[in-house]
Amino acid sequence: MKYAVKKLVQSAVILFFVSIVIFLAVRASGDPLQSLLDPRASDAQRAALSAKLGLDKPLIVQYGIFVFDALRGDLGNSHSSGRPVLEIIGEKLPGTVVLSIMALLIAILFTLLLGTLAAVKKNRAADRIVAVLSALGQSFPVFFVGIIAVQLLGVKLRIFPISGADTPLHYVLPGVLLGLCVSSSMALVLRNNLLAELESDHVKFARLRGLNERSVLFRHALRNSFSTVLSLSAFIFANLITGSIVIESVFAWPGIGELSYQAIMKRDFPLVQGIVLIFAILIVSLSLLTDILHAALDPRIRLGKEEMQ
Amino acid sequence: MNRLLWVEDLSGHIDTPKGRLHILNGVSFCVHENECFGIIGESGSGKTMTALSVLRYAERLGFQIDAGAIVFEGEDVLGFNKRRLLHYNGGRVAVIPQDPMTSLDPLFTAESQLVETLRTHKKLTVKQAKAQAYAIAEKMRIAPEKLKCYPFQLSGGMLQRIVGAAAIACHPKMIIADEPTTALDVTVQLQYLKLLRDIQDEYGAAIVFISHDMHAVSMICDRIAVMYAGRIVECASKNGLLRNPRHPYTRALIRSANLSGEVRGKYDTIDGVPPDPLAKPVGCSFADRCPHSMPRCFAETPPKTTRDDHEVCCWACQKDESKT
Ligand SMILES: Nc1ncnc2c1ncn2[C@@H]1O[C@H](COP(=O)(O)OP(=O)(O)OP(=O)(O)O)[C@@H](O)[C@H]1O
Ligand SMILES: [Mg+2]
Repeated sequence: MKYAVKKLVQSAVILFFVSIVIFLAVRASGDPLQSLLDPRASDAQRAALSAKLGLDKPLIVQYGIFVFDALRGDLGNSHSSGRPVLEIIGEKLPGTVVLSIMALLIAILFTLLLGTLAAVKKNRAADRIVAVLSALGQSFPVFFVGIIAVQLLGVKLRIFPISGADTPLHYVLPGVLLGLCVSSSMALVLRNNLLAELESDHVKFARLRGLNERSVLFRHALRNSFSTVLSLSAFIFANLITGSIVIESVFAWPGIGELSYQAIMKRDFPLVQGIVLIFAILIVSLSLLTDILHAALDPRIRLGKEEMQ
Repeated sequence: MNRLLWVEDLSGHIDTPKGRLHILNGVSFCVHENECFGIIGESGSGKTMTALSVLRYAERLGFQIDAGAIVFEGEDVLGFNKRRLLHYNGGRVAVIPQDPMTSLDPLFTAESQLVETLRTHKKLTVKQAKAQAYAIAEKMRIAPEKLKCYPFQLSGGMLQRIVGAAAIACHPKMIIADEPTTALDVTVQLQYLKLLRDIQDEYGAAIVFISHDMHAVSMICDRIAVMYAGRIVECASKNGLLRNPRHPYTRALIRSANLSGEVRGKYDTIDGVPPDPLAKPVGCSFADRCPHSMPRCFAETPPKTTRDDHEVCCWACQKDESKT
């Protein structure tokens, strides 16, 4: 419990810094007035719009307003459409969240299955196949694999629908693809970790205590190596988020990825700010979740090394 | 005394990219019920591999047995099937590992690993197993609250006692302790060895104690075997071996251990190096370091000769005897 609170505070601090970076980065990316106004507009028109959007105030004040509003759950109104940012994001968020959680679960499942299989069948056919698959998964861009899958399974064989998110069947292809692409690197990490774990002293002692192969593998070796894989959560989420943006565009998925592309093109400050912030919150809370899962598995993290006697 | 373990002429090798390593070259010894049997020899002489062969673990390291037999309580250990092997390991023969800091699973408490071992070999409910775990912990002088700890929360000495408790938990007939004290400081080492002997007396188990420390071996063992280059070159009761060592290697070993503690300018060391396991041994492996070697020593492997339960493999010793 103490650990969870500590992690929560850490997450809040991270989000605070993220908000500063977002705020500055968006403003460094260009002048929104250019895309909103006619190039021939007069200086007076410029000043009026600038005042209306709050861009004439000093940066620090603008930031203060942004944070204060954000804390109240108000991310401002979109410059381009005038609708509340939160509302726009709210429409697109569930698609992305559901897709990435699904992909994460699929990734964990595939990682456990493929990684364990490869380690147990070390240097045999199954191990080689897993190695080739994950090399392919890592070297082919998700984009490429996505398009092939759409062509083959969607257009040619018509097994899965290929665009939108209307029925549960719509989730299968993008979810599995994204999950596979995340697990392709994780499975190899798990395999190598598990192999090292199987030769460790504590596994040797477990065998010499007479424990059967099942206990040795699942209870002792796999648990330890999976816990190591979970500690790479930052790396997993980087894969997951970049992958999901690509997958969304391939499958015309009504999610945040597509929305952010439009917002950036229009230099819609509040919308971009809002999207990046929501993404940050998403990543931070997902990694909070894995950290807590990791802590549940590993007492050294849960109890903290400093309690050593 | 009854013979508990009997190893006869055990030879085996590991194939490596560099070639075939002849690690054991005819190891023979036996361990009696209830005794403390020491195996001593310098690093690389094959002590650990002998122990792991007896435990049937060596094969996992790629060790292949070429010849020989291992008999435990009259049963052929090399012929055990998987199921019998699972009970043999931990149930009949237990191990105290060398490094207690890494030998327990970091994700489970000491208690749960003790309970796990107990329930693997005995039909017990979790509650019964817990009660037994605490009883054993008390015997090993482990405070009950320490059992609730995870390995990373415990000191090396405490962990050593916990792996000791795991080893004796199922009342094995034999406990193999392969340098169980190298991770501990000297005073804790001695305490631990004494504790082990007390438990052994009470449980009626034999201990096979492996070490390259002559002091420790002579402190707790009843009988001692000296190992050199994958063979047991001499084996006798503690007093027989220490007072009347016969093999030139044993004599050199005792001299260099300086057991009497007299002050000397320098410790005696043995000149030369042990043979390379890559070469298949011919004759006596110690011959080219031995002050008494004869032509025969380089050509023929000396057989084991026994007099008054004192076994030795040495041509020179045989010659001495025939003279008297
Ligand atoms: N897994 C392995 N692969 C290859 N060679 C090995 C392996 N394990 C041991 N050996 C070799 O086998 C020989 C005997 O090793 P062993 O560990 O039995 O010696 P030891 O007497 O226990 O030495 P120490 O006192 O250092 O523990 C050594 O030459 C060693 O290099
Ligand atoms: Mg050793």
